[in-house]
Amino acid sequence: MEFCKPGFLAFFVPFLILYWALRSHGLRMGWLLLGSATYYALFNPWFILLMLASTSIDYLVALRLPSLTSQANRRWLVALCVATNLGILAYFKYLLFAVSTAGMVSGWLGVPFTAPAWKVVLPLGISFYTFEAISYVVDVHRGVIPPFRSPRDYLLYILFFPHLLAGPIVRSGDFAHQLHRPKRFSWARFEAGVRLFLLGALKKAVLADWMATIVDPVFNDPSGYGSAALWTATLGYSVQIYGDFSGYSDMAIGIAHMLGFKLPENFRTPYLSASIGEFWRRWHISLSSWLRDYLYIPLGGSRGGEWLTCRNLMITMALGGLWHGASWTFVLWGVYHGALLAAGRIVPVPSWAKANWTRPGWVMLTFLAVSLGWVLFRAQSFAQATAVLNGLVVPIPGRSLPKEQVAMVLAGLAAVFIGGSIDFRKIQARLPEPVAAAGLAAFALVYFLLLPLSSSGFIYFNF
Amino acid sequence: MNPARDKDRPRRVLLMALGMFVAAQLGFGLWLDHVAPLFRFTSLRALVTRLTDRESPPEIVVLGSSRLEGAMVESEAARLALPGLFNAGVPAGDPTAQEAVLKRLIASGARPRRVLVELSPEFFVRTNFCAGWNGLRLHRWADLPDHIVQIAVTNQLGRVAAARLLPIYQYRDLIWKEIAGIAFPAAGAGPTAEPKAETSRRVVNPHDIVPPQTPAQVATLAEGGRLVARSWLRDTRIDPVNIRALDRILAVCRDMGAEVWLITPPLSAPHRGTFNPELEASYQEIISATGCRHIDCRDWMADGWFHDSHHLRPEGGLAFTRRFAREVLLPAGAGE
Repeated sequence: MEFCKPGFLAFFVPFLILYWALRSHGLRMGWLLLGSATYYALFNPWFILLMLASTSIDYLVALRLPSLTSQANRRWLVALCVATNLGILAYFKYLLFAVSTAGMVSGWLGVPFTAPAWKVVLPLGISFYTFEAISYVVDVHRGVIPPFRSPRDYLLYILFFPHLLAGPIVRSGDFAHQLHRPKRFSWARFEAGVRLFLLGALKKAVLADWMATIVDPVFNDPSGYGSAALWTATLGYSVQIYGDFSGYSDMAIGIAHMLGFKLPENFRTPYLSASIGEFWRRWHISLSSWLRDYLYIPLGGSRGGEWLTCRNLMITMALGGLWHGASWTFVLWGVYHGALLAAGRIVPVPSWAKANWTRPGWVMLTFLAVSLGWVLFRAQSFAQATAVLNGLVVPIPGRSLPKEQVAMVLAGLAAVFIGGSIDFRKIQARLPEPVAAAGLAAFALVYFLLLPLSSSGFIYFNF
Repeated sequence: MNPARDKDRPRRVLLMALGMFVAAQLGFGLWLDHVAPLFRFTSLRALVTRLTDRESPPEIVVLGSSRLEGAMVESEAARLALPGLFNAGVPAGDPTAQEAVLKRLIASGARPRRVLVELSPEFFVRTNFCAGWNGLRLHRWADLPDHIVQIAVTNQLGRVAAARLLPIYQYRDLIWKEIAGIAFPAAGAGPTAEPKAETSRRVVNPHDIVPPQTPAQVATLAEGGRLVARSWLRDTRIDPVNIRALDRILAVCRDMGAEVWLITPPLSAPHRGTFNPELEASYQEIISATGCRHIDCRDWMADGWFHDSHHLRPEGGLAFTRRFAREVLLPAGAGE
């Protein structure tokens, strides 16, 4: 029951009506918790037990921390807690990856190795709620925030269904006070929520899912296509992943608004960035800021000179890549971005190249570099990635895509570049009421009309 | 007042947008119901196209489901001196759908002398598997009270509710095809007749020797029988909806002066075994109440001719057509 499916509305609309009909704040939060747990359980009821078990450890540890006077004991407890969280994540997400890697290495060394036929199902949202739980314990340890006293509030922080499955990754410091403050229904906020939800739904249903119909066949059989088709598919994937993930984030933030909550911004027109560093300040902001605060800075950040900074960037981005998926292609994708970030720091840029008039060129260059990186992200294997990248660099003959599909990709790129810089809120606020209403209605109608018959699901649900 | 400072504006905008959205959805639904009823009944649209493309009007019309649609091969009937046979079978064509098909064919100029109506016990039970199909392609708001129980017990309420309340969503693929047909007429993306495999069916296995069954086919038929028992015949209480539809078909044919024969189509042994004695007795009662000739073909075809429990393979369709023509139609002088 993903946000972009009409079935979600059948769940959400009655839930929302009762949510706002409840007078007592306590009852309303209780209803929200019940709704969030139900929403998660609809995907797989057993995983909620895992999540409760895993995150309960953080809750209890955080409660205990302030009463510990010994700094060493506190550190040990936090380290144990973080290790437990990462251990659970590693088991569900990386065990099979480790086994296959062991098989690969033993093959190289000529050592016989029989991979066990294990089946591990990845619990939905585990990467997201694990990071939230870790940041919570670490922030309590650092004294940035007090621990949650109420189990209900803590569970709501983790389970709050708009961000549960694919972020944005929320910090407890940004969320806790919203849980305590009684909610008052605001039409302005509700309208903002509806608008964001519809915008996100359009990004997902129209941009991402239709791009997938073009991109998937090419990436599944790259050697069957020529360079032009490979370029089209690569650019199409840039549009697809942006539409998919930023669409999900918009919907999540919109739903939260409708419930009277504010979630952090996750995308800020990332393809208009003029450098890779700027790209990461605009793309999946909640993850990149998490990696900065809980990995890059503890590693030393930029405090130890250029080379140590570059090392820290590489480690952070490689682990960030691994967070996205249990595959070496994701690690390489992270390393690629780490290398680009490091290059951005150490390669000197002449002063004339920093002038404002050069910005469009840098934006195009950054977009191109990011798009090439997406090949590693999208490919199922190194062989597939190599086949695509080879076709992008060396002109090769082969099948091309129909004109309509090329036009769709170009239209998608235009929508991402131009549409991303349009402030719909401001425009709508200035329009006469019937026109503004017609715009919203048209958004909803186009969404329902263009929803593909079978959705490919949110890409980030796999992480 | 500055729109940005008007605190009541968001409420008005949202409610207006909701009103527009609902009006567009319901308006499109009413257009489908009353102006373009064939838009969502694509197989009937294809039938009408095929009927109007014929050189001469049909003498015999076969109303039914995909079972007879595949079992009465027009080209083979024509080869056997029955050129006037028109197969108007549609997927999940129970009497409710057949009534709509017959009326539309008559409105398009058909005046058959004889109408063959396919019946099967499954059409008359509460868990009639055609109910969901009809809910999506046929029913208007006014039809729902009669059919809602069947729709609900066959778990099709959600889809039918979406078709009623969100028709732009439910029929979006048809809308795309229509738009593509207008935008790219040369590509033939518009509404066209559903492809028929008749040309490929010609004179295969002319002596009608039953093909041998592979173990996989035996398993498929057995699983099909189990599915019918588990799902379609989950509740075998008789629902009068299709009895009334059958009565109306008979009345229309009577008014037109057409003779009606009832046909129970060929079914595989696992499928035939799913009808319990009570259901069978009720079925026979329904048939005898019509006073029409009944040709029960359930056991006419050996299991080797079937590709699932109730659909004949293409060569099975040819064999059935030949037998039906030889034993039923030609002796009755239908080809004259």
